[in-house]
Order: sequence, then C-alpha cells, then structure tokens
Amino acid sequence: MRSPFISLLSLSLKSVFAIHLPTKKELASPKVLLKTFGWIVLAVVLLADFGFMFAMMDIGMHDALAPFGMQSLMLMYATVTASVLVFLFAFITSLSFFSSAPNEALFLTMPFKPSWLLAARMATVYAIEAPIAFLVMSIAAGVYGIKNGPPFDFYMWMLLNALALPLVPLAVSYAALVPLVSASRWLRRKNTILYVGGFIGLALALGFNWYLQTMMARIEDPVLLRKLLIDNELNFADIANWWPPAWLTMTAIGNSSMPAAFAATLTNLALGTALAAAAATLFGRSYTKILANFGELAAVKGKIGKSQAQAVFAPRPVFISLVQRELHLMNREPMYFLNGPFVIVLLPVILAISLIAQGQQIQQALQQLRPLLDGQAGYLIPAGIGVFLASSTSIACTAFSRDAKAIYFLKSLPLEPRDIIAAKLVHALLFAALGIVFGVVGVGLLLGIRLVDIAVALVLAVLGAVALNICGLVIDTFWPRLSWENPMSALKRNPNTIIVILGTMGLVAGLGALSATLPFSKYSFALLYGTVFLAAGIGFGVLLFRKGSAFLRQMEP
Amino acid sequence: MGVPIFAHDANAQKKAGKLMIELTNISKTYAKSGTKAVDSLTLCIPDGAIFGFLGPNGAGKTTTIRIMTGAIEADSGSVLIDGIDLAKEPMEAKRRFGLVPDTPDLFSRLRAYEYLNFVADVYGVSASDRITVIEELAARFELSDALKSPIGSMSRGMRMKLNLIASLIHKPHNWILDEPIVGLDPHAAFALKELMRAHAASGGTVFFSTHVMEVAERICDKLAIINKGKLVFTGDLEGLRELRESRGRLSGQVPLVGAPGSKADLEESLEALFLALVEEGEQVPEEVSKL
Repeated sequence: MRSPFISLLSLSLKSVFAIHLPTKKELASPKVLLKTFGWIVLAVVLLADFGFMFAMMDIGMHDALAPFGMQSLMLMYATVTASVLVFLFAFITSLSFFSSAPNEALFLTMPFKPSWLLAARMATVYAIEAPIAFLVMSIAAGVYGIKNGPPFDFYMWMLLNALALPLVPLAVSYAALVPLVSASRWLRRKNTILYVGGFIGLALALGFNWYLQTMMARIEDPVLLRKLLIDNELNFADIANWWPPAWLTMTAIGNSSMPAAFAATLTNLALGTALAAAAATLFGRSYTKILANFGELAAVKGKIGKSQAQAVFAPRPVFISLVQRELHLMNREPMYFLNGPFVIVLLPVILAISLIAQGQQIQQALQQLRPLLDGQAGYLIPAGIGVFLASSTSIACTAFSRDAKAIYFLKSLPLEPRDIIAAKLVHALLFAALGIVFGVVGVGLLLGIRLVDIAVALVLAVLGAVALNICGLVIDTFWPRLSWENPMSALKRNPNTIIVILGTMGLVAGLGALSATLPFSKYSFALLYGTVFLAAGIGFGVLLFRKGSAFLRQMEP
Repeated sequence: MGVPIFAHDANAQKKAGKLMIELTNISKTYAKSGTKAVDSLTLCIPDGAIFGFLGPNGAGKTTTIRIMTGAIEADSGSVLIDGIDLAKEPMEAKRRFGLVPDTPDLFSRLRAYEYLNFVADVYGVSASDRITVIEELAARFELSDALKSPIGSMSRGMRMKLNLIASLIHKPHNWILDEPIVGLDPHAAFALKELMRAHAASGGTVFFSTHVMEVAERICDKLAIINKGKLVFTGDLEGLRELRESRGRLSGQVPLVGAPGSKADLEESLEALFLALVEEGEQVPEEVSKL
C-alpha cells in the first residue's frame, strides 16, 4: 500500500501534467492520429525554438570570448540565467497555484499533515521549474562540451546542479507568499490571484524579452559583451557570487578536484532540499488556513431600489443583450481576458520593448528598410500587423468552446441560432477593430508611413481581419471543445486557438514572402489580397451562416 | 394561492389548441459514447398537474428534459409543446416553457440581475413585468439582497433559486425543472413546492425530475419512472399503489414492511417498488404497461 503522502504527491502531479497518451486502439482513428501528431510537432517546435534561442546565445558568447580565453564565462552566464529564470518562474507559478485553492481545500477533509499538502504543491512547482533549469544548463553544457571537450564529470555536475537550482527559489517563494496571502484577504481571492499573477507573468515575459533582445544586441559586440560579463554590468558576477545555488554550481563545474566538485554539488542539493522541507514544515499550517479561507468571488450585498430597478431592468433588443453577455463573460474571466483581448495591448508593448532594447540596430535596420517602405511594404507591413493583432485575441476561434455546458441552456431559450452566432462574431470584430487601430495606425505612424498607405493598409486589415475572424468562428462552430473543467482549456489549451494563431502567422508570413517575389506594381498587391480576403470573408460567412445553425443545434457538451 | 406570477394567458393558450407536453417515441443515442440514453419514450404530460419524472442517476431524465426543451435533438420521435412541434417551430415552442436546468452554475461571471435581465430580454418581457416577477420571487426565495452579486459568489442553493426566478420571468404555461430540490434549504424547498402547486392549480403544467421517491410522493399528481432510457411506469400514485398491491399478492417481489395498510408500510413499499422497477430495467412487466 502506498503512503498517503505519495498518493497525494502523485495526484498533485497528475492534476497538472494530465497528459492523456492515446492507446494503440485510439490511434487507429485518423482524427486522433492527426491530433497526436499535431501535439508532438507543436512540442518539438516549442522545445526547438527555445533550445535554438539559448544555443545561439551560448555559441555567440562562447565564440566572442574564446579569443581572450574567457569562454568559461559563458557557463557563468548560463548558470545565472537559469537561476534567475527559475526564481522568477517559481515565484509566479507558486502564486498562480493559489488560484486552485478552492479545489485543493477538499484535501483538508482528509487525514493529511499540513506540511504534506504544502510539500505536494511545492513538488508540483518543482516539476515545472526543473525542466527549465535543465534545458538552459544542458544546452550550455552541450555547447561548451563540443567546443572544449571537458571530462565526463563536467556534464554530470552541470546537470545535477541544474536539478538543484529550483529548490531554493521554491522555498523562498513559498516563505514569502504564504505569510503574504495569509495576511491579505484581498489576495485570497481567485480573481485577484489570476489578475496579479497574470500581470506579473506578463511583466516577466516582457522583461525576459527585453533581456533576450539586449543580450542578442551585445553578443555581436565584444566590447559590450566584456562590459556585461567582466565589468559586471547587469550584476552577473554579483549574482554568481552571492546567490548560493549559483555560487555552488560555479564551484562544482569550475573545480578540477573531483571531491570538491562532489561536495559543492551535494551541498547545493542538500541546501535546496533542506530549505524546501523547512518551508513546508514551517508554513504548512498557515497554508492550510489559506486553503480553508479562500474566496472565489466577492458577494455584493444590498437590494436594488425601486428607482434603480427601472434603469437596471430596462429592456434591450435581444441581439444587444447577447453581445453584452459575450463581453461580460469574456472580460470578467481573468484567464480569458489576459489571453484574449489584452493581447491587443500586450503585443505592441513587446514590439516597443524590442525597439527600445535593440535601439541602434533597429534604427539602422529601419534606415535600410526606408526604400522598401516607400514600396508595397509601406502598407503591407502595417496591414499584416493589424490583421495579426485583430485575430490574435482568440475570441472568435473559442466562442462556443468558452460556453461549453451553457450551450444546453442557450439552446433551450427562444433564440435563433444565427443570432447567437452573429453576436459571437460581433464580439470578436469589436476587439478586432481595436487590434487594427493599434496595428495599422500605431505601426504606420511609428514607421513614418504615408497617410495614403495607412488608409490602404486599414482597408486591407479590415478585410483580412473579418475573413480570419469568420474563419476562426467557423472552426469553433464546427469543432468546438466543450468538455473542460478549467477555463484555460477552453482558450489557452484549445487546439482551435493554436490553429488560428499559427495559421494567421503563416498566412501573413506567406503573403509577405509572395509580395517580395511577385513583380507587381505597388498597389496591385492591395487589389489582389483585398479581393482574396473579400472572397474568403464572403465564403466563410456563407458557410458559417448556412451550416452553423445546424452545427449549433447538434452541439452536445 | 392566487400568485400573480401564474397569470399566464390561459384563454389564448386554449385557442391555440392542446395544452400539454407530448413526447412521442423519442430515442437518443450519444454519438461520442454510443450510449442509448433514451429509448422509444412516449409521455403525455397533462395540464393542471404536477408531473414527477423519476429515475436513478444516469436513467435518462436529463437527456429527456434536454430533448423536450430543444437543447439537444432526438434521433427520432417528436415533441409537442402546447400542440406546437418543437422541431418545426422551435422559437414558438420554446416561448411556452420555462426551464430550470440541472447545472445552476452557468454564467458565473454575470451578476444575478444581469442574468435575469438577459433572460427577460430573450423572452421580450416588459420592464414593469420583469420588475414585478423579480421583486416578488426574490423576496419569496430570500434572494433580494443578493441580486447585485456575481453568480460565482453564490452558493449552489442560491444559484438554483436564481434559476427558478429566471425560469418564471416570462410567466410560462409549462414549467420544466431538472432536479430542482437539490441544494435548496428547507424554507426554499417549501416555497418551491408551494409555487409548483400554485402553478398547477392555475392550469399550468409542472414537469420536474428527481431521483428521490419521497419528494415525488409528496408533491406529484402524476409520475413516470424511467430506467436505462426506458419508461418503466407511468400513471398516478394510486396506480403505483395498485401495482404494489397486485405485485405483492402475485409474487411477493415487493417486501411489505410494518403493519399492512399503515402509512409507513405504504411509503416504504412504494420506495421498494420504485427500486424494484428500476432494478428490472428494460424488462417492463405486463401489468405496468396496462397501467
């Protein structure tokens, strides 16, 4: 019989890594086979993308430092990067997990020690962070190994220390968060956690993007690189010297003596484990109190007065009511809002950060692009960005998936299916309009594009955005994902979202490449793409409104 | 009771023809699981009565309700609401009932009054009518203080009360409730039973599902028992008692508990008969079909 703690640990891990591997029998279905293949490709692409990014930085850094015999500084850079990354991610992941407190509270009725509950949660966070540290460190070890041929034990110390790196951040994160959440009633709410966690996460992503852009800009310049690593700009050396897990890692991999390296590695692992265990023991009881006192949404007390009732209960046209329902349900769910409409604001911010971080390089690139911007690129670039922003909110391609079980109730109401579909489309197009304004007008003004070209870009972006949003809605009307417990599954983990976002990126990139190849005059492209978008929009629209009603009638969550 | 909520236009209903819900030969198999949830079900739900729809979990009660409200389509058969074919005139048919769904947590991000307003807009209820119904029912279910709250902040019982109000906002002739008692406090359960009685007394149809025989016994005028998608009994409580007695005499299948003829004996043996009918599943005894 397994110990209760191991069962709890196993359940906690399974609840986060709930990956259903299809059986041989299931793989006989072409749909399952295609879906499985798609997920594998996506996983490989994501891993290769991040792996490639870190590998290119490591190689660039190594090659820039090697002529001075300082290539081992690349290992310090990797260790510090891994330490900082896992620290930030451990903090944000730990914070986000508080949002599942209402579900976890069920465990309070079972005979678990408080420290077990916290330890199981910490182990889950560790299982997410360890692969990140492992990826960063193993790529650095690989690059350094290929170019310098160190002994075998080097790899062993790199990887064992990589496993130790997330432990101290984990202990520190919970040591800070448990008292904080215990003390603040405001923080013990799902909405607050999701918004605070979401915004910190976005800030982190932006910071990471800024850091990558800065590093990329410096790697190509040995003078800047030297400033960064040797003159301690960005405090790299400080972090390596003063953050114990990083210092112990550097001691282990930089020490030629096997016993010393072993001792450093063991100390690193022991220190992390001891601190994590201490945090679980010390804060376990407070953690269970948080679980017991966690609130979902705040109730609002108070009657609706007679005079107020006239305004509150004023009748509206059914269609307006349907659109308003869509707006409320999307924008009041933090998971949907942050990954949906907010993307329209987020992406331009990321773009601005790239421009600022890469400063001179971007200015130079813009100078080189100037002649191109006088041609078709002048309206195609803003139009492409506008189209992408307008369809990146995932509103249309998850419209029915988000409704899930509510579909039954909606269908029992005297509503025409075409009205339900149209309301969902209008909701998506309202935000698409915002994306077009940000993308076309914002980028157009930033790049100093002529007003005529901005106007052409606006028309193209509107036609493209309408076509793509209708296409997204067709996909989600025909193949909605209606069985889920967590809203994240309806939007972020919905295959329809991935299909539409990757599809839009592919389309924009493809049309960009086509425009650079075809020998057409400047505005011929506008005519061509505008016609294609218009035809596609009409085609998808006819399909949606002719077949959509039948699909909606047959939808069964 | 003379509750104004039930002042639905009975004369207009009579002019329209039949006043009842009729399900004829309904079958439904879920494509994903291949489960036959409802099998050749025929039911006639009369006006002016409370009709209980009983069955154990997974018997097909919710599927039947979803079919009769147009939430899912049957593979075969027809549904008539007040004589209107649900498949041919879905909008008109849907206007004639109010539904209390089995999952009360549908729109957790809306505030209670926003949800009620949405439903009222869908049914085209005037401002004064919606205010009257909401004020009266919110007071009756002690929900007046919670109307500004997000639905997500409410308990299951409060959400059920909200759905009860929403289902009556357009004063429907037919009131369909899926497991309405679950989660209600005793006061609200009593208020609901009173409302159901008043609705039936005013000539309306009340159709509700439950898996608790005791609930059905206390408030139903007529009932049907479903198991594994098939109807195993339909009739009134008297018919069920007759069945109990005949089966008890014939085969002794239904154990008699307590003194024969006593109230305890009757209640326990009806429960036992319900269980026996459910266990028999698809083999409908001859005497049942006669009833």
